[in-house]
Order: sequence, then C-alpha cells, then structure tokens
Amino acid sequence: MDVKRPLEAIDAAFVEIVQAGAPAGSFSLPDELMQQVIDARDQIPSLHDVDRMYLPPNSLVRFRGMIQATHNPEIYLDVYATRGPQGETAVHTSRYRDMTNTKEDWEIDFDSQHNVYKSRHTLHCVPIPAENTWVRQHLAASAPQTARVAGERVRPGATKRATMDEGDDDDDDDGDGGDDDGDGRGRGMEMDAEQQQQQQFPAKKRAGDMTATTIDDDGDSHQQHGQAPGARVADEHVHNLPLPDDRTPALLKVYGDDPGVKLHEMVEVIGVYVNDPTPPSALTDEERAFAEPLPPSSVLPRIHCIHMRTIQHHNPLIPPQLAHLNHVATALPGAAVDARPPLHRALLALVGGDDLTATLLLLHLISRVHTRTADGTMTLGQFPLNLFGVTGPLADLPARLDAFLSTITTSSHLLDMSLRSLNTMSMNPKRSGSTDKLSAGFLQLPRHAHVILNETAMEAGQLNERGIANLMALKTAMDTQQVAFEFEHAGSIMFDIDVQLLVLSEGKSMLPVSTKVPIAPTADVTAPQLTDDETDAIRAYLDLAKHAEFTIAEEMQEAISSDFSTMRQEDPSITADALHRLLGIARLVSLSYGRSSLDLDGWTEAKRIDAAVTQRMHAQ
Amino acid sequence: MADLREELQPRKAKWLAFLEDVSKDGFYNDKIEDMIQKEQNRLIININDVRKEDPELARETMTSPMLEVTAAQLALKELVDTKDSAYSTKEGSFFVGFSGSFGAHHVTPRGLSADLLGRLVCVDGIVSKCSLVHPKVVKSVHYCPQTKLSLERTYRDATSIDGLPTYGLYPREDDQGNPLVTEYGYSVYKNHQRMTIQEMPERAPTGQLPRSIDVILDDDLVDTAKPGDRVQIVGIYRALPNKRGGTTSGVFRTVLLGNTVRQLEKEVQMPSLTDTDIKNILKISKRKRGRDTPFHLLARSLAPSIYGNDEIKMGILCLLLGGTEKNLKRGGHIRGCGEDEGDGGGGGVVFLVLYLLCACVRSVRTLFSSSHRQPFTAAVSRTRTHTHTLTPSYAHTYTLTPSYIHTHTCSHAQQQLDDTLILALRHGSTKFISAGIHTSLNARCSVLAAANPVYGQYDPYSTPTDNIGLPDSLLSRFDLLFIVLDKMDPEVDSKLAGHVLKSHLYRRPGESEGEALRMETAGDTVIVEPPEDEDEEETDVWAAHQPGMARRRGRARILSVDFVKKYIMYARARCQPKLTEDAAEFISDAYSTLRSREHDDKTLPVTARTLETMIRLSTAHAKSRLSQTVDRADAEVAMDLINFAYYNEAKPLAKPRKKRHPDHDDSDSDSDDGVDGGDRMPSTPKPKQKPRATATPTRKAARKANGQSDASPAKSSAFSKARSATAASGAYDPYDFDAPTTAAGEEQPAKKAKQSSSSSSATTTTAAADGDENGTAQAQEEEEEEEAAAGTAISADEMNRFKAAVLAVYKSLKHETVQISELLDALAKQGMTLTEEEARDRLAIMQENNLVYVSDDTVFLV
Repeated sequence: MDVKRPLEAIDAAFVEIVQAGAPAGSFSLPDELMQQVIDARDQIPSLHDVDRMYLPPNSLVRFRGMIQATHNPEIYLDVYATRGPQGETAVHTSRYRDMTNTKEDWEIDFDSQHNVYKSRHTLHCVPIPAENTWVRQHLAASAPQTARVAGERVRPGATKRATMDEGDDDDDDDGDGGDDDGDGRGRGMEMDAEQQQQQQFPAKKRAGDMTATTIDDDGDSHQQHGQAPGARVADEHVHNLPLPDDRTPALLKVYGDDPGVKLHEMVEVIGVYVNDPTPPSALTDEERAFAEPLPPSSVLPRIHCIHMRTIQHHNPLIPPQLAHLNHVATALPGAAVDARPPLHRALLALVGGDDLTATLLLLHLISRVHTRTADGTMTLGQFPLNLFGVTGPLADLPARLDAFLSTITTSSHLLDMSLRSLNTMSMNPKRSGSTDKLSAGFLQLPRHAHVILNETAMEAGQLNERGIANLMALKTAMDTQQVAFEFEHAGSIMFDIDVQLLVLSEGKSMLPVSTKVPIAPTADVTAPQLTDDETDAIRAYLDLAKHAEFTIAEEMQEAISSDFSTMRQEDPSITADALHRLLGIARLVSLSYGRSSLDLDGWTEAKRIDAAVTQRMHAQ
Repeated sequence: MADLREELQPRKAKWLAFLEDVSKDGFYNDKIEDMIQKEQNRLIININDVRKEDPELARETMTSPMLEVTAAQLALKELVDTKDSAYSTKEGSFFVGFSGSFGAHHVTPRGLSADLLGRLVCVDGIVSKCSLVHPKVVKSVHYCPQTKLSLERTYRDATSIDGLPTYGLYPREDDQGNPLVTEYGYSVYKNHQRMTIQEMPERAPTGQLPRSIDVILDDDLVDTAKPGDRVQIVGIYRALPNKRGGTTSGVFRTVLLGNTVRQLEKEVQMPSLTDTDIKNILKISKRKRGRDTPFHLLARSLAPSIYGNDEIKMGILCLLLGGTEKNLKRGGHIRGCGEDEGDGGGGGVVFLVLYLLCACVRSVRTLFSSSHRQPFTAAVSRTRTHTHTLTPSYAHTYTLTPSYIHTHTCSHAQQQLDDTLILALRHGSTKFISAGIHTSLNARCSVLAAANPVYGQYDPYSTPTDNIGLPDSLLSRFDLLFIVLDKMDPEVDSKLAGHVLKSHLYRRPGESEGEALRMETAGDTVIVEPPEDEDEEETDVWAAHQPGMARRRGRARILSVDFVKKYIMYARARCQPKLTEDAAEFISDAYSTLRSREHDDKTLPVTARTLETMIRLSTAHAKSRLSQTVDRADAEVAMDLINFAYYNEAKPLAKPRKKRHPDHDDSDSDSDDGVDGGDRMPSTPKPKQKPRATATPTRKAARKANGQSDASPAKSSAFSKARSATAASGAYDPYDFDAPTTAAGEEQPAKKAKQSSSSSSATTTTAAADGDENGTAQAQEEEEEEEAAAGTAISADEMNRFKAAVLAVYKSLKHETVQISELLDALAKQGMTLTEEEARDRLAIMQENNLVYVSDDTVFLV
C-alpha cells in the first residue's frame, strides 16, 4: 500500500468486495490491508514531525495524543450509489474521507437500495500535553528517514528545555538539538524579557547542531511566539489545548463499534489525514445557536483512523505495551540499582544536600494512583508534596527543578501560581451551554504527568471567583485525583486524572498538601551532574517503578496491624489517615529500591521518613 | 407526491380500522372524543395496543414511521371529521403520538446509532437547552393587485413528515413579474421549537462525556419541557443532509422529530428493574437472620470502604429512603425526608458524603461558603439568536428537580448560615432573584450536612451545640446529628489497620499493569461474596467485639452499590407506609421518655420536631422492609438510632484541670457550659466539686443563657426557661422559689390535660405528623420540667411550705451553701421540725425541680 495514497487501495478493496457479490453494507477493511497499514508504521510520517504544509492530503499519518473531549457520533453514508448523466449507476464508499467523491455531473442517488448509513465516532485528540522534549526527540529520531521526507522539510517540535544554563552537560545525548525555549509551553508569557533572553540564549547555542534549514524555521517560530503571545492564546482557544503546544490537535474519526476510550486516555492512531480548506457547512442561524460548528479541517485536521490503540505511557525507553507483567517485574530491580543512586544524587544537589527532601522528591517522582473506589470516595497512591522554604539560595529551585524534571520525566510542567495566572486560567474543562463549545482545562493532563506549582510566584492581591474555583480544582486534584468537567447550567461530572503535584512555596503551602516539609539545605545548591547513560536509566526507571505491581505479604500485614495499634496507644494523634500515609510511603520506598513487596526494612524506612517529616515540621 | 398519496391509502385504511375497532370497546373512539372535548389535537396511541391488534402495523410503524404516522394522522383527521366537522375544520390538522414499549428502539442519546435512522425511537434524557418558540410558515397566501388573483404556496422542509421537502422560494412576484402582496392573515403558521436533550449524567459510562441529540418539536408540543426536565421523547430519528459548497459531504446532522413528550418522574427513570432484580429485592426484604434485618444489611452495604460508623450509615439510609410526604391543604408542608448532620472530627465523613453522591439518583454536593451558592440558585442566560431577550430557560437542572439530595460539606460552620439553606430546610423551597426574575421554586430535597467543629478541633469539654456553632433554631431542623470522633481502642485500631491495608492491597484479577485500580462491587444483583463467616460487623462501632484480623476476610455479606440503588428506588417508589396504632403508641411513649430525659446532655434539643423525626425514621425503616405499615419494630429501630444520635458523644467531659484548681476557674473558662456534671453523676459526687459549685465558674453560662446573674452547675435549660418566664414579669430574685413554683402550679392543669391527650397517643402523633404544630405539639413544648415531680407522697402544700422555709433559711444565712444539719436547725427555729430523712425527701424533690442540689451533707442553692 502506498502510504501517500491509501484511499486507492481501500477503494480497490471495496470494489472487489462489491464485485464478489458481498452485501456492500458489511464492508470492512480486509485484514491483510489492515496488517499492511500496521506494518508500514515506520514509513508513515507522524503528524507532529512534519510540517503540515508538506503533508499531502489523504495520505496516511500517525498521531499520538490524549483524548481531550468527545463529540456526538457522526452519521455518514458509508456506502452510496451515484447516478451519472446518462442514468448509469455506481456504488462507492465514503470510508476514511470527509467528502463523498462523486465525479463531475454525477449525483448521489439518495433513494438507492445500496445506501448504507453508519455512524463514526469523533474524538478530539490533543498532542500529549506537557510532553517533554526528549520524548519527542526520541520518537522523531526513531522514525526512519523515509518518514521524515514525507515533506521536504522536517521540523523538530519547538519545545521546552528551559533555563538549563548547564544544558550542555546533559543533553548531547541525541545529538539532534532539542532546542528550545520555555515559551513553547506558554510559560514565557509570564516571564520578563530578561528571562526570555536568558532562555533563548542556550537554545541558540545548542542550535549549532542542527541543519541550517531547521534553524531558520525554528528560530522564526520562536520570535513569533515571543512577540505575539496574544495570538497564541487565541490559537490555543481554537485548538482546545490544556497547555499551549506548537503541535496541532486533531479530530479523530473512528469507525466500527464505540471505541469506549475514556477522557484523558492516550491513544496512538494510524489514519488518513484530511485537510480540506473548504469552510464547514452553512448552518441556519437557529442551528448555529445550537451548536458551534467545528473549525474547518485546515485549522483542526481530521484523521480517519484505520488503526487505533490506547497506550499506557509514552516513554520511548520502555516497551510500548507493558501488558506482560513480567517485563516490569524483571526490569525494575536492575533499573533501580542503576538509576536510584544517581537520581538521588542529582536531587540532593538540587536541594542543597538535604537528604530528607531529596528522598521525598524521589518518592514523589515514582508515585501514581494505584487504587480508586468506583464511587470516588478514596484514591490511593498519589503523593502530593509541598517543599517550603524556597527562598534565598533556593529561590530558583522551581526553575531548576522544572528543568531537571523535563529531562527525566515524560510529561512535566511548571505552573507559576501568580495571581494573574490563577485569575485568568481555567483548571477545569468547560462546555458552554449555549454553543456546546468545549474548552480545555489545565488539569487535563496525561497519566503520570508531573506538575510543579510554584507558589513563590504568588503576590499580594485578591483572587477573583475564577481564581478561587481554580484553587478548589487543585485541591480536588490533590485529594481525589479528579477533574470536574463543567457543563454550564447542568452541573459537572468528575473525571479521573493521575497527576502528581509538587508545591514549592516560601512558607507552608496554602493548598492542603498531605506531606509538607521545609527544605533544610546543608550545602550549596549545585547543578545535577548526570551522564547520558544515567539520564536514560533514570527515565526508564521512573516509568517502570510507576507501572510496578506491589504486594504486602500476610505476615507483614499482621506486623503492621499490631504495630499500628501500638503506635496509636503511644500517640493518639495517629489516625487511619496516618496509616494510609505510612503505607503509601512504604510502598514507594520499596518500589524505589526495586522491591515489589513490602518487607520490614521498607516499613521501618517509611516510619523513619514519616517521623523525620513530622519532627522537622514540629521544629518549625 | 401523487404516488406517495397512493401509498398512504392502504395504510390509512389500516389505521382507520385500528382506531375504530369496536373489539376494544371503542377505547380509541372514546379517546378521540375526549380529545375533541378538551380541544386538543394530539392523540396518543399505545404501540402495545397496535401490536396486539395488528402486529404488522406495529412493526411498520417502528420501521417506517414517516409513512405510518402520516397515514395515522390522516385517519385521525377523517375520524374527527365524522364526529365533529366544525372542530376538524377549525383545528386543521391532527397529530398522533406514541407510547408503550419500544424495545430495542428505547435508547439514550448514546444509543442512537445509524441503524435507527428513519425509525420510531424513544429517547430518555435531560433537556439541556430550548430555543424560543418560533412561528414557522406552513402555507403562505399571496395576492396580486394587478391580476386580482391570489396564490397559495405550502412549505415543507426536511423536518416535515407529511411529504417531501419543498424547495420553492418565497414568492415575491408572479409568473408575469407582477409584484405580490403577502396576505399574512390568511397564511398558516405552526409553532416550532428546537431543544437539545442530553444523556443523563448518571447513565453515561464512567470516563466518557454524555452525548446529546437535537429534538424538533412542532405545534402543540412546544414548551412541553423546559431545561432541566428529565423527559422521554418519542419521535422519528432523522438525518438531515449537509450541503457544503454544492457537493454533499456524506455526513448528516441528525435530529429527532418528536411526536410525544413525556416528563419522567424520578422513579420512572430508575435503572430499569428486571424481574430478577425485583425477585432479589423481595428476597432481601424478607431476609431475617437474628438482628441482621434488611435495614442493617442495606446500611452496612453503604460505603463499604468506610469502616464502621454503622449508626451513621443507618441514618444515611433513612435519609435515602425518606419518610412519607404530606402536603397539607393549609399550605403547610411536611418534609418527607430525613436530614443528618455529621460533625466531622474524624475522617471518613466526607467520603461517606462522596459515596452518597454515587449512591443516590440525584444529588448535588455543595461546598458551603459564600462563593458557592450556585446549586441553590437558578441561572438565566441569553441564547445566541435572541441576544436581546433574557429567557429563564436555563434554570439550574438540580434545583428544579424534586426529591433529590443536597449534601453539604462545610468548612466553617459559622459561615454557613446562608438564607437559602434555611429556606430549604424550613419550607422546602428555594428562591432566586436573577435578571429581574424573582421567583420561588420548590426544592424538595433531603439535606445532609457535614461540618467541622467551630475551632477546627472538636472540644470534648464543651457541648456539641457549642462545637457545631449553629443556632438551635436551625439545628433542631436536622433529624439526626452524629458526632464523628476519632477514638482509640486497640481492637478497633487493629481492625482499622486491617481495613486500610486491605484497601492498599486489593487487586482485581486480570487487572492490567499500571492501571489505576477501581474498587468496585460490580454487578446488577446481589454480590456473591461467600458467606463463610456470618460474623456480623453490625451495630456498635465503639465497642466492637470482632477479634483480630484473621476474621476480617470473612466479613458479612454486603450488597453491591447498584443493587442498593435499585433497592432504595424500589422502596421509595413502592412503599408509602402507614403508621399503625402500635407504633404510634410506642413513639409517643418513647417521646415522653425522651422529654423526661431533659437534663441529660444531648446533641439536639428534644422538641415536637423530634416527634416528626421519629415518625420519619420509623417510616424509613418500614420502607427498608418494603412494608406498607409502620410497625412497632420499626419505631424501635428508629428509637435506637435517635438514642444513639442524641446521646452518643453528647456529654462533654468534665475538665480535670479545673477540678483541681477551682480558684482559677474564672480566669480562662473558654467553654461556657464547662461543667454540668450535676445530675449525671449524683451518686458519686467528688468532694472537690464542692467549692466549685459555690464559686462562680458557670456564671458566664448563666449570663449567656438568660441574662441572669446566678446559676449552678446543675441548672437545666428547662428550669432556666421557667425562670426567664418569671423574670419577664418582674425582677427575679435568686432566692425566691415562689415565683417558679407558682408558675409550675399554674401549669399543672395544662399538664394534666396534656398527659391525657398524649395517652391517647394515636391522636397526638397523627396530629403532629400532620404538621399541626400550633395545637397539641406546641402545648407539649410548654410543659417542660414537671414530669419528674410526680409520684411522691408529700403534698403540694407541704412542699410549698418547705420550700418557703428553705428559702428563708438561705435568705437569713446570705449564703448559697448550707450543711444539712444547719438547715435542720434553722428550720426548727422557724417551727418546722423534720427528721433528716423527711428533709432529705423534700430536698430530693426540690433537687428534681432544680431548685437545690444536695451533695452528701451539703445543700446548694441553685
């Protein structure tokens, strides 16, 4: 199959089926064709890696993203008959395309017996929000040359390897210049000019690796972003992105049964790329009042999916499908040995030699939601963390930590909790009651994303209603890992997320973070020194640890149970919540060492850490 | 067009045959006459009748409704013609609608797939928005002044069912180019409205957004539903072609051409109960194993992930089941709901609340602070097409729908005194003023509130009322109040630990790795957890007897969330239990017992409202058994619950520190009613309390309560009421017993009358249940403290003389404490010689009336 002209093969298959006398209504893509598409995966360009200007319409593309919203299914003519000027007839399919393809002077025979109506599902899919540069570079680099030349020019995504002055030390790994600047992620809007300059400087420096064309291309786009943040906001509005992104979202059209994908799930699709500049259909005023038409496909490209699968993670360094439990179980112990010490060392350097906070940070980085009750009453596994005392020599910790996390985690984002951003942004997604228009919320983040909330950016002033709502949304996210999808005038529906929140503040955070601890630096803050191998090991380790299974043996349960009773006798302030917290820490401690079941060491260590946190809080 | 008419003829004949059919005793004949009489023009046909009569016709109706509906309407028109041709001419056209069972064609907006295109479907959903009603031209009449001819033109678009769409333009001039004048008066218009119905959020699969469908309603159907309504719409699912730049895109917009709109009552839209479900429900309702009644089972099944707190769960179950609602002709309104207030000292309550949101059919959680009032108000907003008109169409979905549950999580109890909550609690209505619209809507809801203590930390040394910080007037409107405190007990702790551990461990088999785990008890029916160990974890959280963790696994069976939902809905829908004499008697007895425990500390004041509470709770329990009568057993359970809610944790701890240092009492008494141990532990009065009683620690409390300057620890609120009554009529002398005594004496007859009326208990309770608070119930409220005095041998006269004498003694001594021997001496001096025993008897009566307090050999003046 020609990846640039898949519809020809599909039409041919259709004609074959019709001629073979099979009922046209039962047409589905033949298995071998499907297999061909999947096999050709490596030759198919990714919509994110190529400039859409050079992507031929109706060619095959790959797309990876997160489901941000779903629309009503679309009813379309799956199979239809056309009538020519002389009364001759033909049967066609409109599978994998937006428009019917009637020949000149032919028209669709709506009364034909051959016509088959079907529905296809439409999903609004955004590029994985907060995805870090290295992930994107890996994917782009792993795609073979054939894929890259789908267009003449390849445009590596503008991204966000932000303020790392010492960037040279650690990012030569891929050799392809993950250049970049912070405002690729919209953070630039909040920064002053000086900072932006600072940021662009290393970006320019590193750009030396790249080909000349790429530099131009990329440099231009930087300037655009820097100069017209307003335009980006508008853009973001149209595209419905939780976070500003230079990559385009897409409207996926899925054939067959309801795919049943949930909101905020990540999917990977191969499909037919449709880019039709014709404006959407004319609607009457009344209809327009009822539903805002979707933007035209030139703005929001459509992808008619031939193959679609949901993905559990987007880390290129570990196998895509972790369904085989064994992989994690076998790989984790080794990964922990390789990666835990350097990671701990790097974190130690960042927080000025404070062992406790470095350990807590490490645990925070491998936390994820592992249990939820269906009724939303209990969510376990998340480990929100508040480090305070971010001042003096630690003042630039938010930026440093963000820079570091963006090199080791798959998705991370730094949010300055300034009054302005809190008062203007929107944490929860909304659907307008009058136009049905969906707008994305910041908290619509992919599974296992890390968010650093920088409370030091907060200044004196008044939060408006939206600001308060945003804070409440953050609180909900922290407590139950859910985000409310607000339907105007019709209440809201809660959707699950799995986002780890790290709050950095000067004093104790105003958010109800379960673990709050002041940083006590003992040494100078230094830049983390990691070799490429170590960085890669850490990248794999973090996701392996997140996906690992965990058990507590029977005898260990007994021991913990009696231990808990004793602890409660000694200190009445210890509650069930404390046990939840201790078990959570014990789980993370064990997993951080690559152990998949709780042993006495892990339990003792957890108690030690918890006691140290309590003690330090009391000392305050 | 012509062939269409031809095609219609045989169908019309069939419909005529069906509608005229005499074998059904002219059922539809009557309906048509009824329709004419009521000046309506829509006939609702039950598809089940059609199916019985003519299966072929029914099938045709479902699959090609465009033709059949038109044919049926023609047939109807013809029938009306023969019955009342004048009416027929006046109305012009008649319509048919459908009801009955639609089988696979009965769907939610999510179920509307392409195979249902062009079919007759029945869709359930919530109206999420409506347009205004527009007139739509059906026939225009034009007159040409030049030729003096008039011209008629009819219009149909893709939403018309009686024929193909007409594409003609609105004519401005005739064939010769002569201008035409439109005769608006002769033209015919029809009402036209478009609304969107959305999948009900509770029916959308987890993690997916609800879907919606546009509905076109014409003629008499416009404005039959408003936003927020849960409706069932029968109509034709139709695809409208989408034109784009001349070529057809092959994509269609779909609408539902409604022909019947039915409002869904709450009970109708319950997840459909299957026969098995009902069988299971009935089976469970008959279940009786020791104390493990259906009520306990249901209560236990609520929020299984929260350990213990069984009483609270029972309370919540009562809230879910509700009482019976009574609307009074006088405009009074008895809430048929239960209400709870949890005072969250320990965790878990919030989660319980969250659980509720999932368990009940309709609920709203509101965070009660000034910035979150939304759920109580309705919203008004503009539609895009009519930017100049404000329409009250977007009323808040939840506020307007009756019988659901509001839950509140309050962070600061003090801030909560929101008018709307009070309104909702008192009158079951909510008011909203927005964009010039000022109205009051019924909010029939149950209220569950959870609050933190006033100062964040529960102060065990003060009374619950002080900890909650809500005024009695509001607090007394809650039926039950539970105080949730974190307590220590090794056994409970280890169970708790086991429970926590289990939630950290539970994995469903086949769970994919890295997948956040959902703990759910799936399945529509009873869960089949093996009942290997029927060791009930029932009732008492505070004194649990289940040893160790080993048996934790074999916990008693619980029901699945879905089943509980169904059970509750079934119970609510099917049962309107009536109070039996027996239960009424029990309740009235229990009520007087409660009243007599006036001096005990309790969380809520016992008032006539308590009586309502008891009836409501008993009714709820009866519903849990699916019983049509409220029996004595129901009332007993209700009483247990009330006893628990009223007296558990109600008693503030005495402050140990203060006992030791009576001298410092004044300095920092932050708990006003700090110590009122008096009558709760009279048997073992501690010597150290003596000086305290004479000192002034509780003056503050007294001032607060009555503005009086004197009080003693044992003072009861009832007494203070009586005193304040006298105080109102003149300056109050703390040494003067006469005034209260007289007041009490005056009340004697009233009390007698009262007692007789309450002995005919059935009358009393029914009266109260009917909300007649002005009558007997109020009288009851007035009779406060007398009950205790009954049953002594000492005559009233004698008592009065004794009281006067004792008073005189205190007056002469100018002291509030006196030794009993001193008292006897002093009394002897006044000519009243008594033995110590006699004196003690009399003092005991006075103590019961809260006039004095006797401790060992010391008598304190109260």
